[in-house]
Amino acid sequence: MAIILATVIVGASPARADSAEDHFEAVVRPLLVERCHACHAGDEAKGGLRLDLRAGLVRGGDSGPAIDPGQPPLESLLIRAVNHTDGLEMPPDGRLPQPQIEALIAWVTAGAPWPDSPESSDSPTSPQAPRQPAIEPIAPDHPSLASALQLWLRADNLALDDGAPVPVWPDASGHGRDASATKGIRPDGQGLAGSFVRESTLARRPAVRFTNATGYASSPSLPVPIKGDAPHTLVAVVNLKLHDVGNPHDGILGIGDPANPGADPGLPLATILQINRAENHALHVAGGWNHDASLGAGSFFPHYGRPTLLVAVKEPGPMRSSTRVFINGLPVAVAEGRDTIPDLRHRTDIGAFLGKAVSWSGSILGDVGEALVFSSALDDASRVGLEAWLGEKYALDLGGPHRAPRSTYTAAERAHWAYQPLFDLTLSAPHTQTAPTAIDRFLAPQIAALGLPPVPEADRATLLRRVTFDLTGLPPTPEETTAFRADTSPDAWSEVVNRLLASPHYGEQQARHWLDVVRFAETTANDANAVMTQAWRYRNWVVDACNLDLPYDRFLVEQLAGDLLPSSGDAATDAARTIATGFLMIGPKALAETDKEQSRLDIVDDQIDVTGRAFLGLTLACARCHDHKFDAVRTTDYYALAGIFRSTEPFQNEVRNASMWWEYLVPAGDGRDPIMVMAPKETLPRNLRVHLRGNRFQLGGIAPRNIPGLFSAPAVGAAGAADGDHPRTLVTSGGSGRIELARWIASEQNPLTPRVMVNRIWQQHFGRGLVATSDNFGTRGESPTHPELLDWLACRFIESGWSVKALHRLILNSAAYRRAAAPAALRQADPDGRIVASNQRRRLTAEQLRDAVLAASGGLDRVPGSDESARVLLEKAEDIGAMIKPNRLAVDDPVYTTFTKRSLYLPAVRNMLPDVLALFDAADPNGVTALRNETTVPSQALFLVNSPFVRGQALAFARSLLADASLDDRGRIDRAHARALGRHASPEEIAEALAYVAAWTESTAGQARPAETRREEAWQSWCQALLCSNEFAYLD
Amino acid sequence: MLNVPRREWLRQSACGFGHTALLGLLASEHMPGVARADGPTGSPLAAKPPHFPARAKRVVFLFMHGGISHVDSFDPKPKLAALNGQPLPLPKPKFEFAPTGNLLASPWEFRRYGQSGLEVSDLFPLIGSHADDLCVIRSMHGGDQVSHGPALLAMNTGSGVFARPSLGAWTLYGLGSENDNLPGFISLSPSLYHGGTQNYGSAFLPASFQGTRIGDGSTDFKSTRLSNLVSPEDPALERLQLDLLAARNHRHAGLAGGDPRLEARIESFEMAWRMQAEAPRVFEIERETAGTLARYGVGVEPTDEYARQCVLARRCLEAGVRFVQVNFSYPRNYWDAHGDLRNNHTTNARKVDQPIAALLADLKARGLFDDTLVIFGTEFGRTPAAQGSDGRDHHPHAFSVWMAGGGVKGGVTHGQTDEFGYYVAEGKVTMPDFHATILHLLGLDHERLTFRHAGRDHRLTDVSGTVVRDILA
Repeated sequence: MAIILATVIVGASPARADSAEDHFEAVVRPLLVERCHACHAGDEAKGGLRLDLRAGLVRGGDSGPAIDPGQPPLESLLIRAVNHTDGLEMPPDGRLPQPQIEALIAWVTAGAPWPDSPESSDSPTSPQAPRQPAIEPIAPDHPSLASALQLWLRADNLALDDGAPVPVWPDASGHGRDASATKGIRPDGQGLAGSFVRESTLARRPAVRFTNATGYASSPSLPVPIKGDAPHTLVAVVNLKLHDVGNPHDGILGIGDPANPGADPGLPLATILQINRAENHALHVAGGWNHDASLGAGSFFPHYGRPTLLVAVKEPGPMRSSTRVFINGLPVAVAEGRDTIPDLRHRTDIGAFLGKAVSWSGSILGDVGEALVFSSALDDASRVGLEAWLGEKYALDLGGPHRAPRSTYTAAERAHWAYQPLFDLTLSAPHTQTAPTAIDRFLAPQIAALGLPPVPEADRATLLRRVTFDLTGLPPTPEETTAFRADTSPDAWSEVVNRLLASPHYGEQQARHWLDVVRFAETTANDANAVMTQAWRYRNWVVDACNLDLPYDRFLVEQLAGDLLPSSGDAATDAARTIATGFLMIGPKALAETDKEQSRLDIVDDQIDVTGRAFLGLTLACARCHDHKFDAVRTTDYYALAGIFRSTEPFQNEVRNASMWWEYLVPAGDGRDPIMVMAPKETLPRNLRVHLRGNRFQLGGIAPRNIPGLFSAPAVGAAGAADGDHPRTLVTSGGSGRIELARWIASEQNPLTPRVMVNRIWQQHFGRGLVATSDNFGTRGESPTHPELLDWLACRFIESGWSVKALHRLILNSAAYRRAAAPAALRQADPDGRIVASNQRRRLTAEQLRDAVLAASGGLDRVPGSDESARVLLEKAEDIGAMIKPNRLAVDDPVYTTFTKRSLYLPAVRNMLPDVLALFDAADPNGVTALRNETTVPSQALFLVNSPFVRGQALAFARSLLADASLDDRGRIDRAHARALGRHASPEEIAEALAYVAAWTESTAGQARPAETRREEAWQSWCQALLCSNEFAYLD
Repeated sequence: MLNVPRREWLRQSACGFGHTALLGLLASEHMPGVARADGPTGSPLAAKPPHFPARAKRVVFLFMHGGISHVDSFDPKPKLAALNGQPLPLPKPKFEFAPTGNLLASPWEFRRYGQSGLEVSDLFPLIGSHADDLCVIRSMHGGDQVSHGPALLAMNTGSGVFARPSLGAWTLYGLGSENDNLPGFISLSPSLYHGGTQNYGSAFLPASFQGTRIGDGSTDFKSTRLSNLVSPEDPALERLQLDLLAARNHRHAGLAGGDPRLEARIESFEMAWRMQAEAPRVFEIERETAGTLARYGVGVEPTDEYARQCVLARRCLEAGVRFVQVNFSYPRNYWDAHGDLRNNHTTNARKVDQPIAALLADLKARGLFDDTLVIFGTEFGRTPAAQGSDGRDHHPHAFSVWMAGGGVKGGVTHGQTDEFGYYVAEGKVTMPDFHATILHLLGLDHERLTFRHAGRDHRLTDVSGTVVRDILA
């Protein structure tokens, strides 16, 4: 190391800049070309590292920057790699000769001069993440602007009640040019006062609301010092509505005297930004009402109804050629105008005006948040900085240099099967005995191709146990089994299905599936693992929604944006919708993170991840740091979504250096007390900038809030693709965009949503989805085994009004569902069950196993709905005298042994699931679980054999059998089979059991305990063996 | 009470059809991801060859929870004494947990030990006596993680934010296990907080790679019991029950036509039976000689608890456990000295100094030292500037850890901090670098040890990580 360092000093010290450049051309560039460019050049560069541009080295690849100007040269990745300092050895085919290495070191030491290399390596066709530097926002009172600032009207410094009139709008420029309504600049000025709006259509920020009679002007006694042809800049932030009242010249912002109709047309006396309704609502910058010079496309003002930033920069000279107008950061072309006037002669005795300036002029309708006048023509850097400042403040959809480059998608990306519209195939194949339903006919061809004998229907006991667990998560009662076996009517099966779908336990089972997907838990994980005492309401809402068969489109809209739906008029319904947004709240969150913004962005990431995977089967969160490696999701798309979620606030305040999430009271209706709910609140909407490499301190362009680009952008080459300057925007309301996002997801036009949901339901009933990766429908997910069936189901799902119960009914009534588990030959031919020639043997889930043990012992409390988990958690939680209560419920707390409610209602503690759940592959609530693992490990056996829970339930089971005086031992054995296994005992099993009890009792005969105790223990042991058995643990 | 067994108790073992079936089963069918993962099929826990010859076969990770002050332990800074009470003449970091004041001299002297002259403070005189075996990394950098939870997770899983598999889980995934009847990855007394199970979890890796927790940071290790592993039943009666169960299960499996999953579950009960017999023999540290126990400090305060853990760790390593994490953890043991640094660090150091020194000596005496990687780590360092009058705050910007044993140089330091210990001045080692180095010592290439999940190949070091070759012996 020391030797190399010495060389560097020798090699680098005499180098001047120009000789270093020569050195680059003579030595370094040929070296890079010869030894590096084979892999590290162009858009396909390995590891994302380009060595054919200086910017490529600075930007670096997957392993970070190759050179970092702030880093000692020897620590740069480039030098470490060629030096073979550590693991990364480049070039891979052998170390460079020492002189070449030294040449590279010398070059890096000299600052890596590279003549003529662009600072950006982004070619227009590259789908790489945007890399352009962030624009630094510049406030109007920043020293670089303040000297030219002549007028600054800002609605957020008005201290008025909501709706109050604004007779005077104070000037914040420091010049005292307060704008007054009425009178104003001329004796005949007649503008009326606007009203103050606390949450306006401008990002819910304060604004002054103009009617078409509103007008303001500053006092003529403090004229704006812009004389003659002097340069100036006008800026306004507005959200205007279309109207058709009065004079068609709607002034927005102007200076000078608008009222002189110009006896001498050579002397315009004002500059006015206006909309000329008489000319198809063109935006003009006029030199007076006669628009002696005007600009604009002569087309309909394109920004009605959306927040808009207007900037007019006037240089000396004729108006058309000297004035540039920018709408939301984009230049507007000069299209027409009678720009014969060489200069403007503003009167020096008048000020600035807004809206209706004189009795006969028009005014604007809508909200004005900000209006500024500068006595200079802002240069591009200042203007863009000011635009960025206002853009951030008003969540403006800025284009041009502000915006991250619009994503493009290749034809191949668009062609991925999952993004195609649903295809509703009408079947022509006939009904047959083995294919009695449409579902079966879709499956039939692949089954036939197997060439195996058809798998028969499972026997009734097996079938009832299967469907009862599938729909309610519980075993059938002995009485239900008996009834079904005896029912010979043709409708027996569909009646069972209907009965189970109507059971209150249906919602509990269905909810458990959904809670896996939405990573439900009742603590925050991370530092405090604080108890979220209201999370149970969300869990119970899911149960209720499933039981009510809330249409799936509404189910998802309510979870994403239930708080934003118009009131239903019923307080209880409105409360439920707010509770539903607990979906956004129940994820893991860091409360004590010092970098609060980072913590918020991590929550946003979790929300994007769960939204993408739960509803759309898209791994959107992969695009946080870089464009998705495989799917058509760009970093820009990620931050477009992130803006939506960032505009929704989960935290209310800080308690002891930690953040506290939102909880608030909502009316419960029907005269009941209000209830406390955990739900987010809309906050000031904002657009995020792309975070380069996910780093919030390295910002790129703005990614306006939107749905992923693939679904909003027109196809490449298609008509309208050139509208890139004014991209379609999802969010047109003043809100976060959550409601728009939710409605897009729930739209019938979105093929992913119904496909993903019908696939989940299919997976529940066959153990495997038609798409095996049920949370990844991207290119790295599995392709559907039966694409036509998937789409057919999706179409029926939509047709039924998104009824999940109808979907269950459709699937369960197929012959396919009722078939026995796969026999050996079929398992061999189709090990994964892709062909669906049978149903699949499935192990009970952790919750089902626990519930089944309690059901068998008779100890299960089946009453649905409970807040007991929260009470248990709260009772144990540490009280640190603040709202945040760290969890203190240990994984082996006795409550996990004594709790008798269904497992769904157990306390759900992140990172501390009890054995009864964790050992049996319960979902880890730190992330989305699309499909449970099914591991088989001895620790499960140890739990079943030795844990106090199972032993205790086995004893309860035994006691309840022994207590039934109406039964003899044979009857008890048969009853035990019915309760645990849903069937009668065989004569052999009865004999075996009797022998077992006898053997046990005999072998303990010498012990001191009473015979009665030993008999009970023998039965306990036998019952426990039933609970441990494979037949108990598996559904055939 | 302990709940030893978690799902990863599974081992391979010589047991016929059920065994074979179990391996195949675990390898593919019902663990999405495994089938697509690189690497051999068969049991995920079967011993696997490393990518290249390994320098260490097993790991013992001595984890010090709370953040040991580097400038008071392994990174001497005379400048702190010289400028005690004066402001830091450098800008303070962008991320700070809480405001800090002026520089605070270390209350401890540093001494040179052994032939190497490696400097260790008086907090750790007995560890210091092993100085010639220690490789102290003085240039650790913990990224932006200034609070315990994310910092612990970053140290143990590589990510402070996302649920990622732990270092031990990755190790087991890469190398498998060498004992049939014990877990391959054991975490002793891990904290239930600051990431809890995630710190030894398997995240998206199959659960069989998850660490088995013995005890927890809230419970005195002495009272830890192996609850589900100990049968309350007379073995003969239990065998009777198992035989009944096996008979029923075999009948059922016969009707089902030989489903390997059913066979696997039958076998899992037999394996559990064997483990009941085997595991307690390892876990009973009382089987050690009185002399050994005394050397570790078992039975006397303040060393008893950590000594028990260290003895058990050695027994596990000896029995073929691949990765043992020995936690000195919150809330009962905690280096988080926001105030009264002197008292906090003195108390804690007295609890661990002797047990750790004894462990090093014991590993040597038993010939295990050369192929066992010993890691002494903490989630971050502490501020060289004072918090309050006599404390130090969290400091991820520079801190020290050390390694010893399999494949690392002894008696050396790597990297440097500036003269105040505030920032890394030379040889920065990030968490991914640290992890890459550990995997390297185990014969694993951190860029090749991948697992496909959610559409991409994940690795412990994510997208970075460079092996610290300087410290390789």
